[in-house]
Amino acid sequence: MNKIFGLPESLREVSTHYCAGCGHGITHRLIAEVVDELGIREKVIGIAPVGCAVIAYDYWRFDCSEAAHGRALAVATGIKRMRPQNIVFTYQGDGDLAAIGGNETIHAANRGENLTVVFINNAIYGMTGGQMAPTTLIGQKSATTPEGRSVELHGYPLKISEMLALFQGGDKAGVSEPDRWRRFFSGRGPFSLPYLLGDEPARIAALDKRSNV
Amino acid sequence: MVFGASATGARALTSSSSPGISLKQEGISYIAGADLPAVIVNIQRAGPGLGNIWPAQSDYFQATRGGGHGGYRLIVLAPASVQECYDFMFDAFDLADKYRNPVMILGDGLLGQMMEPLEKENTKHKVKNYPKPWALTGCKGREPNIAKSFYMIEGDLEESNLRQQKKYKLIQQKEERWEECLVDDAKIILVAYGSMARIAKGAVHKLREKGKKVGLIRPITLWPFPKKAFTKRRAPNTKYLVVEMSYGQMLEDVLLTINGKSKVEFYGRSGGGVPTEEEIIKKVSTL
Repeated sequence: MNKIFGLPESLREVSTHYCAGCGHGITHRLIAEVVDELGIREKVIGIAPVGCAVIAYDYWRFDCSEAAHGRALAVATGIKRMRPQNIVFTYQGDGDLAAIGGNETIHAANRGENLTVVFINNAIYGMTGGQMAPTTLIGQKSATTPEGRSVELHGYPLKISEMLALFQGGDKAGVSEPDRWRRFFSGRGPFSLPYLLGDEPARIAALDKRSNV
Repeated sequence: MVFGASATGARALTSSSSPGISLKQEGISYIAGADLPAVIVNIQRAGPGLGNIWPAQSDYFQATRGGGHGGYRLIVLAPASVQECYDFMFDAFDLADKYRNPVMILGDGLLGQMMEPLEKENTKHKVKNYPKPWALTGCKGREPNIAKSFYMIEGDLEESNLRQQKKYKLIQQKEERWEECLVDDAKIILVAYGSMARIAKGAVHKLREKGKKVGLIRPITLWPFPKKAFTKRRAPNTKYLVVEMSYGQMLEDVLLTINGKSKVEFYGRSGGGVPTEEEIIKKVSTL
């Protein structure tokens, strides 16, 4: 009998600490499945983010590092430059990647570091109580924008992926929807940003379906 | 970047001058928390704030008390010559690897701008290779390694803290370093580190020519502070004069070590002001 479904080797058999309805568990699993499919579990090094997913390494079963707030891409750069034979990826939310780590994101992309970034953009600071993030949409209500984000008061959302795509030598900073993210884990691709919008399970499941992961 | 490079087992170094080092403190705390080896060079300029780019020793507290958050310790080496800058770099990487702890080389603008002869051939140093089974290299044939300072489960962080405290105690027992100059018969002992110690040494020799029984203790490790250099010389008739390019930072460690058993005086300038031999000699004459 063929086994058609099971626990990925890259995922530990433990319950996650995430709240009901959170998408982190699903994206952790998607990553674990891709890592397994590519057969790179013993080669991959992940950088866990700040925020709820800081202990992603308790769920994945491959080498991982933590990073200070916003510094995932600096840590990843240090690792990748010392270990070019490994596949290095970061897993970062928008508070991490677009706010406190915006500078790291811009420079890592512009340098053309050979890294993969999984950008979990839920347009809000989820862990700390739903405050406005740089990616919060116009009109979106949050704990710090109870009337909705206004252009006059808060400015426009930062379009990270679109911004990176404009970089000179744009082929160095590839930005991708998740349907192509398998390619970016292969270690052959350039810096990439699988851009997940929304953390509701339904939405991620939809992306999951579309991406055929 | 240093955190990441070090986590792979590579020997990693970063350097800057005071404000840049302040900026790096978050990362240094993470490196210390994750028990990663690294070397950090701080060539001190004057502060606070942007201050100026003249030499100073006003980052002593920052270097020896942790600098970043969370109650960690750096091993701090204070070279006083270009030769020592070279020699201590070998020691710094070895100490970092041996204890899995960040090491700081604390110099100042005088030393940073100095040109003087350097003998590379005479050095006895050899690069040691410490095994690093904890390094992130890909988990081939082993359980995954994690580089982290985060401990969420109750009691885990305290356990990690206590393990580090044990390490710090061991470092204190084993790694104190200092230089002594004419202290055996000295009635007045100057205490200075780094370039300041070279100026103080000049003053000691001039005072000796005048028949004054003056000596110098030069702490080489600022943390661990070389207590052993002082404990055998704590007599009521011995006087200490701490000289710094600050308004009294290492002074506090000297006071804690002397613990009231000898008189401790201080002379210091900062903000780019450097105490001169003449000023030190003048101060000694008032003791």
